[in-house]
Amino acid sequence: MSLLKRELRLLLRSPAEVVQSLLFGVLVVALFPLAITPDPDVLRQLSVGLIWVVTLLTSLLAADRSLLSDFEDGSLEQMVLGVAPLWWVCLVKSVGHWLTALLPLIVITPLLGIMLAMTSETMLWLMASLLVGTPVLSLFCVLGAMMTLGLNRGGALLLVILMPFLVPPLVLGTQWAMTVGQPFYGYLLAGLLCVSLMTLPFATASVARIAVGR
Amino acid sequence: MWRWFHEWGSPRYFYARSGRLLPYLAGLTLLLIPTGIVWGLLYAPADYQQGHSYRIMYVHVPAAILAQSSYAMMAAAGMVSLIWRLKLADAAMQTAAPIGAWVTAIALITGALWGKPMWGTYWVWDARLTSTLILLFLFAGVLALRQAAGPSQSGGRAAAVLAVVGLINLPIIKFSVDWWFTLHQPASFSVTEKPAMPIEMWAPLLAMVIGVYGWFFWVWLLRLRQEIREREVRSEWIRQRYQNEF
Amino acid sequence: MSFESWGDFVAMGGYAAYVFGAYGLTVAVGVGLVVQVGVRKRRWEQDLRVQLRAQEKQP
Repeated sequence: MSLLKRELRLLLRSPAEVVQSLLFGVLVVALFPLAITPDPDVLRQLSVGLIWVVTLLTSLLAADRSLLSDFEDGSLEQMVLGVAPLWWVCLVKSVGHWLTALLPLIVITPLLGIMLAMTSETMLWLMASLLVGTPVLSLFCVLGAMMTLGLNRGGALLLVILMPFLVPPLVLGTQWAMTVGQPFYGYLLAGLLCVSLMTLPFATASVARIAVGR
Repeated sequence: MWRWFHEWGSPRYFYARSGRLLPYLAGLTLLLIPTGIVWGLLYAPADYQQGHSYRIMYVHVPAAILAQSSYAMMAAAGMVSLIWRLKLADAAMQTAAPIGAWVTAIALITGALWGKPMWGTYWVWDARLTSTLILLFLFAGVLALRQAAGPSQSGGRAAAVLAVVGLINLPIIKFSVDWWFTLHQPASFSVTEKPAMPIEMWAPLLAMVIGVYGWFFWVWLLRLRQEIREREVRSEWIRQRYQNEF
Repeated sequence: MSFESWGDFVAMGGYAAYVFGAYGLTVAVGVGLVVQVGVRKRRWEQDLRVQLRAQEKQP
């Protein structure tokens, strides 16, 4: 528990990261009407998918950051050899990533939705889908970041590695929102979250041990 | 049983014994594939709906089947290398990956070439093609990670973890894509229920599928043996084989 | 065979480019991958022989 607090304190010390995620989200969403059309009917159709994709990209961007500092100051080694279970450490990292990169984006989703002419009904389900789906993104992103830690061109590599795994939460999340809350997709997304929570921290832990051995 | 496992896990033992398989695999491939091709191109009857363009099926379907199973085999090798720390399994995984990627690419391209006469466009975001595309990305990820992480042992283990995670995710991804597709399927596009194929049509397909698997194991074994040679180049038993030429 | 003539075969009902393109590509990759291993093996063996010969010369 103290580990979690330490992680949060570290992350919140630099609000720059949170601001960065927010800015990225807003700016990219603003680009699309400019690039495609201001027609609200068209934008409305694209809105759910667009916001989800922007969230996904933000998640990837933030992924490297969450682990880089650890690697550099050697505290990753300490964590692997430390007292706390490694899977718990990895879970905490995922939570930290989610809180700083994705939760802010979820908070401003209503704003993004307005920019894209979204109906308030869809907005509600979009936020629900983001709340359930983005933790899955965080879990995968931290796994990917751990795999690419210290490697050349880690950023591009991260996208190549993670893209297939991000498809299910993306698809299920957007489906759930676009069908305005059809429970089928909601259950699946929740199920995916549960399975991810139970397995990915362990996978990340085993990769962490490999990474430290490097 | 475990003794058998550990015997075959030694690169040297494997190398010495596996060579015997090569002629059989080569023979199987060179027998079945030309037969299947000639049969499928020339002798199988024309399809009622698609005419002769359906013949692409004889290369596309084996490639598609092999694409998925080669990923599974690669990931299985990765799993073995992680659990039992066998270098041979790591070499097996590393050599399977590029072959699988090529097969997946072939499946995609032949699928597109089949699609153009059928639907009028090269690419359609239908469930199968999209899944195959994602499979290609999965292979790309494993290859890229292996490349970036280097030939070290840790690089191999990281790639193995990725492959195993990929294998577990594969059904989830496939289901997601299926559901995505059924929701967005345009009305004009109906997945045609194929009527039962007459034997003259699926017999060459069977030949091709078996032949393509034979080819896969042949190429994989060739590559694996070369990989063993290169990895073991410092050890005596490899050098002896070439030393004896003097 | 399922064609009236060899001309019909080559035409492949108008789909010749697609069908032969698909088959050609597949065979090319299939053969190419086998050949690639062979080439790599031969090159490696040559390098090894050169290396061993050089070692023999230094007692």
